[in-house]
Amino acid sequence: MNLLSIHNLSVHYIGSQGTTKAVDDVSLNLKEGELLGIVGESGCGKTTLARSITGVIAPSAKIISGEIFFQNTDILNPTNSTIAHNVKWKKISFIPQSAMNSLDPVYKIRNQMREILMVRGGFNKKQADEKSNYLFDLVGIDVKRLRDYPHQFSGGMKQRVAIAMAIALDPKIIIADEPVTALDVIVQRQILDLFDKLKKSLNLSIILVTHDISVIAYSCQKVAVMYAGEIIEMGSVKSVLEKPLHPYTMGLNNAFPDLLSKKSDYLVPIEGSPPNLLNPPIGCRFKMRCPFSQDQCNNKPEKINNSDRHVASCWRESESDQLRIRANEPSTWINNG
Amino acid sequence: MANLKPILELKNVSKFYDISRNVKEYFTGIKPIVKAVDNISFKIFSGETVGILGESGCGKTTLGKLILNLLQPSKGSIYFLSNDINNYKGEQIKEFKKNVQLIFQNPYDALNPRFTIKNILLEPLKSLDFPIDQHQSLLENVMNLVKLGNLDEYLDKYPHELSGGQLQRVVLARALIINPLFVVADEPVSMLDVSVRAGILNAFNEAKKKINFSAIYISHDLALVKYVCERTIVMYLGTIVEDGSTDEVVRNPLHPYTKALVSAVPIPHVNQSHEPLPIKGHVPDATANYIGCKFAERCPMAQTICFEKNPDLELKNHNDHFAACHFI
Repeated sequence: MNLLSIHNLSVHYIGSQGTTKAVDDVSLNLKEGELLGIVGESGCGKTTLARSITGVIAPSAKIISGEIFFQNTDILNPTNSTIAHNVKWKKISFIPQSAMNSLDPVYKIRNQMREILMVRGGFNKKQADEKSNYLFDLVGIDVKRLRDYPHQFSGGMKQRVAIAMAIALDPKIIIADEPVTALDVIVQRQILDLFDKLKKSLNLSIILVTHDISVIAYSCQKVAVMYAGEIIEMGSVKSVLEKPLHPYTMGLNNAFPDLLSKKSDYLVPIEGSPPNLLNPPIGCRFKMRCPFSQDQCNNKPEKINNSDRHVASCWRESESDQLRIRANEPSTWINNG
Repeated sequence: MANLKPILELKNVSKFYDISRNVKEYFTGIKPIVKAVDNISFKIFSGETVGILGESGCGKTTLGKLILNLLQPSKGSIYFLSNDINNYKGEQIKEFKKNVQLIFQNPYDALNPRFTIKNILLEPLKSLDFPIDQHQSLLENVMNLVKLGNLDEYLDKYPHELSGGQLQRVVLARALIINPLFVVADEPVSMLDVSVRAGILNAFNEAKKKINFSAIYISHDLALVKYVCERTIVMYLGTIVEDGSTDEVVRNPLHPYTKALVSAVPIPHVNQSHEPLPIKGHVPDATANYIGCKFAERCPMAQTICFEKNPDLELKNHNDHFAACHFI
């Protein structure tokens, strides 16, 4: 069953220079107990997408259209605002990017835990402290450290605190925005393992937003690849990584350093940079950087709809087998434009 | 290698920082000491690119600053072409700067927003007294080298008009315009997106072939180090725990810390091990005073001797592969 279901969501930033179409007509499903990854480069709209689900978006951002269903209730619909208010944070919680900096430096961690549990959860002080002890145990921090201030924690520990806060009110869904980006590899692995453990023991569903394909490969079952405000490919991690359908995903695979590959392997960049979302190109947004683009690409390829299959938004999706072979050749990418 | 002259040599270099973390420590003067770099020795030979790998707080950036003569070592000395860099005075410092350059981590912060790209690139030439008639040709060379393409297109632009990847190419160009002998690259691609990273690394590798400089490449990402460096030095809390060719370090890690690092590096494949890491706890307090091995308390194979005696960095096999551990 779909726990969370997003239909045709568009989120635009309205600024003095025009409208930035950060999220454009995106559809996505999250099943119960699933770990879904959203991967993309900076500026592709993945953070805006994650934030719109919980409603914590910047004042200049406007949800233009679309629906977000949580267990069959449209939480964007104003008539459901009471339900939506209860869903946000209690049922869907959010770990912001660099959560370590989102802790208040002048309050002890215990007070910050109390704030969530008492204000949002309706606990009394004693219950809140008991729950905090339990949560710290769960995320693997010594309970004594509740007395400490944020600056006394290391980066990985702060991330654990942020996770403890996110699961404090027993949510069904956690949305984590780049939860391991600023961390060292060993700490990164520990945090990813923690997510996995919590997912199993608390029956959570998790959306993990990251720019790192390896993190997706390690943790997630399903992945959505975003480019320039759109989801361009979606499917099981195994099939997206091994048999990418969209040229952008093929290019990303080439550009990624792989520890286990042979020394002779050559990293192939994707030439150019993502388009400006103030004036996105008409048609396929990747066409300027795509080595396989043709006239057809000036028209918009079919959008990805919610589907359990492995799908991509590309005119040449059906030729992907041949394109993959060509994409493996570095010369394909270098001589382009 | 033994009869070659190293381009850079560190002999028992240490850098200690006093820190006072609270009022009591401030007023009593009893301050804890962070041993950011603790008795490190190594040599780098001409043409070599050495990766310095370690977690944040292990002292890798301090090491880079020491090599650049931006910090004075607390103990030990650093030799560049057999001269002690800390004894340089006046003109010698300028001469040193003509040979050693730095590539910064964050291209958005490293470039003066009020300078055009042309002025940014000419700055080192002016301040290091390169004759004016050489400026244009050096500029053209370096722009080709870093593949920034069309000269006229970029030179009159300001940093805010360029993307992150282009800015990092400018940072790279600024370091390479004087054809240095030695380059310190401090996490040069960690701020960039995956799809542009590869381009910067390729430009770095190609420039290395053309100018033939030696370099240290500071990073916490083993996969990137593997792509750029032939040799890798692994640091843990200010000390070197392993030193060997990158292939050796990746395929056959010796030190238990390196083993944990290698197995923690995420790889873009679905079928990968989800085994728990062979390492416990967190990076400990850097101010603690260690008698034995610094890694002992997190080490899965630690024994009594590890807490009593600090292991030396010793040659462990025939492939010039060094490690500091009692049990290898």
